[in-house]
Amino acid sequence: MMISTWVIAYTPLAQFVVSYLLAYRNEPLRLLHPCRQRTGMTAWNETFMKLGLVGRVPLRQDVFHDIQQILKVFGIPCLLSLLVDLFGPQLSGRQFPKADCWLIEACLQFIPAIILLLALRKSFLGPLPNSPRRVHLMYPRLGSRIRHLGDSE
Amino acid sequence: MVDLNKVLFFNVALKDGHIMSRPKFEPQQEFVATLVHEIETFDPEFAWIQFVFVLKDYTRELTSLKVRLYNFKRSADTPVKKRTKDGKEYAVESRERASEWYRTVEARTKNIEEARSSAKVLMGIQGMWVNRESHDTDGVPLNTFNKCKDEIDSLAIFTYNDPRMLEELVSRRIVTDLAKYFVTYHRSRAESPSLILTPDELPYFIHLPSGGSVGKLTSFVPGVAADAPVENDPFIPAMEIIPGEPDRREVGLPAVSSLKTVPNVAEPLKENDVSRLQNIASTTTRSFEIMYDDSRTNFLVSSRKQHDLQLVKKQLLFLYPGTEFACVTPIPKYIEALAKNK
Repeated sequence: MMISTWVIAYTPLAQFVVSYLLAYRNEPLRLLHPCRQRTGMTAWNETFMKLGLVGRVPLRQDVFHDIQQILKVFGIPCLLSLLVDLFGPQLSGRQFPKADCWLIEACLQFIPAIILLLALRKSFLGPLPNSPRRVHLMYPRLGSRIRHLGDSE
Repeated sequence: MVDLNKVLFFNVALKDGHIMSRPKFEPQQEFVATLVHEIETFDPEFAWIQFVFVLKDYTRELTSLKVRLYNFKRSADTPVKKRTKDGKEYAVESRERASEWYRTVEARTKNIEEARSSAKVLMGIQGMWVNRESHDTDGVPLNTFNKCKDEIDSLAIFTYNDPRMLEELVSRRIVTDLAKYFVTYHRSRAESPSLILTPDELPYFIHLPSGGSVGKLTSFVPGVAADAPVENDPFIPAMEIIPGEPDRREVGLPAVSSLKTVPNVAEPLKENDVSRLQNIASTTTRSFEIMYDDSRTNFLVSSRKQHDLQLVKKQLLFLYPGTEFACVTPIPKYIEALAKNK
C-alpha cells in the first residue's frame, strides 16, 4: 500500500483538510488567524499582572490547562480514528471487494475528521465565516473585536 | 466575591456589518439619559461603557468601496447572454438583480457619498458589565444600543468573556486599522469593531443628560457634587509596585477625569452648541465614559495626552457651565478590588 493511500485510509488528516476547506472556504486562512477567546483564571491573572494589579503568578496551571484542552480537542477524534482502523476492515470487508476496502475506510475517517473540526471550531477556529453578499448576518455571534485584542492601537 | 467567569465584556458594532452605516439614536441628546435609565433599571453590580473617538480619514477606503459597489451594480445591470439549442443568442436579466444585495446597493452607495464629503470620526463603543449575583439576567441586557439605527444597519452588542478586553478598556484603545473590513466587504464580511461616523453624528452619543429626561434618573443628582475619589496625579493609580517588574502604571495609560458635578441643564443644547459638540473629536484619542458602580453613575472623560484633556474639559465646560471635574485613576476602583479579592 502506498504511503498516501495509507494516510487517507488510516488517518483522518486528509479528511480534516477537505472538511476544513469546505467549511472555511470563505476564509481559508482562519487556521493562521484564529478567532478565539482566552478565558479562565490564568487569563485573568495575566491581565491583572499586565495592569500591575497583582504580582507574578505561577504558570504551572497554564501547562495543565493546555494539556487538558489538547486532550479535549484531539482525544475523541483519535479514539474514533483508531476504532475505524480496527473495525473498519471487518465491516467493509463483508460487503465490498477487498480492493475497495481502503476507500470505505477513507470515507469512515470523515467521522473523526468532522468531530475534530467541530472541536477546533469551538475552542480555536471560531465561528464559520459568513457567506459573501449576505445583507443580514447571523446574530448573536462572536464579535470581531476579539481578533484585535492586544494588537489595536 | 465576584465569580470572574461571570464578568462580561462587550463592544457595540454594526449588527449586519455594513461599514458605511452611521446609526444614531433619535431624538438627539436623549441617548445618554435613556442608557443611564436602562442601566439603573437593571442595577448591575458594575457597568462601564466607553465611547472612544478619534478623527481619522477613511476617504480613500470609502471611495474604493463605492467603486466596487458601483461595479457590482453595473455588472448586475448588464443582461447575461445565453444561447438556445439551435445557436440563437438571447439576453436574460442577471440573477444578481433579484438579490437583496442588489436592492440595497443604492442606499449603501448614497451613505458612502454623504460620508465622503465630511470629516470622519472613528468611534469604538465598548465596556464591561457585572450582573449582581442575585439577578437572573444573562448577557448585557441593554436595548438602547439596538435602537440606534439608520436605513441600512443598526447597532448590536457583542459579548466576550476574554479578560484581555480589560486591558483595552483601561488603555481606552479601539481598533483603528479597518483596512481588512473594507477589503472583505464583498467577500466573507465581518462587522468592523469601530464605527465610522461624521462629526454630525457625535452629539447623538456624546452629551450629558439634559432636559426633562434627567428627572427620571436616580443614580446621580444634577448640580450636586458626587463623592468621587480625587487623586492628585491621574497617571499614578494606587497600585502595588512589583519588585523586579517594570512599573506598568506609567506606561501608555491615558489621563482621565471624572465629572464631579454634572450640571442641571434645563433644556437640550441649542443648534449652535450642538455644532460645537460636533468638534469634540480630535486627532488625539479621547473618550466619554459612563460608569455605574455601587448604584451611582459617574461620567468620565479621558485623553491620551494630559494637555489635550484640559481642552476637552474646556469644551465641556463651555457647553455645560457648572461642570466640575476631578482627576481619577485610569483603572476604576472596582477593578482594583476585583484583582485583590479574586
